[in-house]
Amino acid sequence: MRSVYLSGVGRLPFRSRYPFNYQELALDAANLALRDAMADKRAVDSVVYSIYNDLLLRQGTPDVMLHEYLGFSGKPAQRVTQGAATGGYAMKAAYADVASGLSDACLVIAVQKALDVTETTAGQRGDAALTAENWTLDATWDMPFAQQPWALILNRYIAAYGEPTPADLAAIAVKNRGNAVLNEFAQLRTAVTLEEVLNSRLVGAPTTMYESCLYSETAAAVLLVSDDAPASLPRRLQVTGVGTCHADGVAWSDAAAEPCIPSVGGSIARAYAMAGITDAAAQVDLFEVHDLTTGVELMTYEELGLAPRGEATKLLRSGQTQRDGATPVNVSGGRIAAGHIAGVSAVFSICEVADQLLGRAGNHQIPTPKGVGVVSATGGAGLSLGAAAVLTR
Amino acid sequence: MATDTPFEIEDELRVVYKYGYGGITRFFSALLDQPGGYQVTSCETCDLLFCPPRLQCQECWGRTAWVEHTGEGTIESVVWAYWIPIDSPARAYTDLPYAYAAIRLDGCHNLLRTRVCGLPQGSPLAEITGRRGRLKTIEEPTGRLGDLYFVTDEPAGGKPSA
Repeated sequence: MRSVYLSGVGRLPFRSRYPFNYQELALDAANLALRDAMADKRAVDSVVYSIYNDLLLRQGTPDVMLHEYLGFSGKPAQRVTQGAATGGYAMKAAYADVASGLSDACLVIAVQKALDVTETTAGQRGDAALTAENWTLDATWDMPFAQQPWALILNRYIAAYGEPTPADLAAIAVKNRGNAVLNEFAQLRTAVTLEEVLNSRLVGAPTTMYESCLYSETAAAVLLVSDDAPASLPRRLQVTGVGTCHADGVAWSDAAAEPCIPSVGGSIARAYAMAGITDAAAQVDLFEVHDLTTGVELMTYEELGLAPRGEATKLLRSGQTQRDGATPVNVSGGRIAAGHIAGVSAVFSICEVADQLLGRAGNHQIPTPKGVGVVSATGGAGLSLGAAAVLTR
Repeated sequence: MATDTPFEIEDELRVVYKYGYGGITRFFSALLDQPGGYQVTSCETCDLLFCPPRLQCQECWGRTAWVEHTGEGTIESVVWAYWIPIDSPARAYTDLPYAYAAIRLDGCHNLLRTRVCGLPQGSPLAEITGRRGRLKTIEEPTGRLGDLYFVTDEPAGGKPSA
């Protein structure tokens, strides 16, 4: 397999709603990434479109229209859709294009609009968007009562270990909201107190509304290149590890099995193995993970290898995952505060880690002496979809 | 006069389905025709039991056969849902909040997820997780998962469920 490098990244800020259509957002992000790579569109050999949901776009096969809009007709391309982990899977697909020799320069373009839908009772666009997302749950065996799968996964963990407490979970929201204040790309840039989080509306007990991810719109892009790509394309970072894993998190077959998120653990394990990471705390500067809720972030600490099974809460309470801690998690503000939309979030996280490793993160820059960052994404029914990437300077 | 001021168009995508359940039809027809009776599938090769039922075994891809089941099982995780979208189909069956659980019917390899009735709200998770109970069918089943709910047995100590 050939080495794969990250040549350029570009992202738009997360916003509640953009007044532009998805093609326009995608082109802007692609332009930013190509400018970062000091290239123009002619440098692109192939494209991977990271687009999650056709219903939300009011367009089936949106990659077809987008490819034409971007003027890429004739170039090979594929579209990836894998729930909230779509961007991570798209990165893996692009990596495979380049590493295999099929492409020397593959552009990942991630875009999703979310709030062009509405419902007729009260005009709640967010509710309508979630209803459209629930289409991805098991139509026969999840509906009509299904809660987002994280709830059953987290509560099994709490029943097994007696923690985290509601205050522990709220502390993650406080952390991420605080981190987002410094991030110019974040949607929600106001800090919150522990009391505000705990007093916000319950969603699925013990998780509250302030502990749940945002619903946003944005676009992001990343250009991956090989050693054989033109020398004029910078090799800013190396993609040293990628991994994906399909594993249903609410389908444990053994009642005695340890509570975990197997898709997250499986994808991270693969990425770590490729990158030679055996001690994440010692080898990695920062982690951007999918805090779809605070509980998902907490359990991800164990999947990242930062804490043994059952001790994620202990890690949280140590302060190690704060932005000035030894293993910072979600310095961007994560899905709870920076923003979230399936299809783009993981690519946004790639851009975030890239900017941090390259010293370009502005007001929310943290030290990165080891030169390594990890991105983890999960989503889908049962949190069954997991993707991870390791970037190295 | 043409401007760049955004305006919105209303549109609707409406798709009507009329679908069947394929090889698991018997599970749902039992809900309609056999009140209180539940059908699960058993692999004819490796003896794994499945509910939700499957025509083919998840592990060996062998064919399965239908067996009767009492509907008894154990809660392995539960959540009280306090918020659902305005147009959630769950509202046709229950008010908020409602308890939703992953349940293992006795002997089954996989987990069934449905609502739980009769649990006192606010019970500690450690108390509910592991609680035994049984499936029940609503009074007017329509051949959907929503026909089912789980009712817990009396907890240890003899106190009845609320």
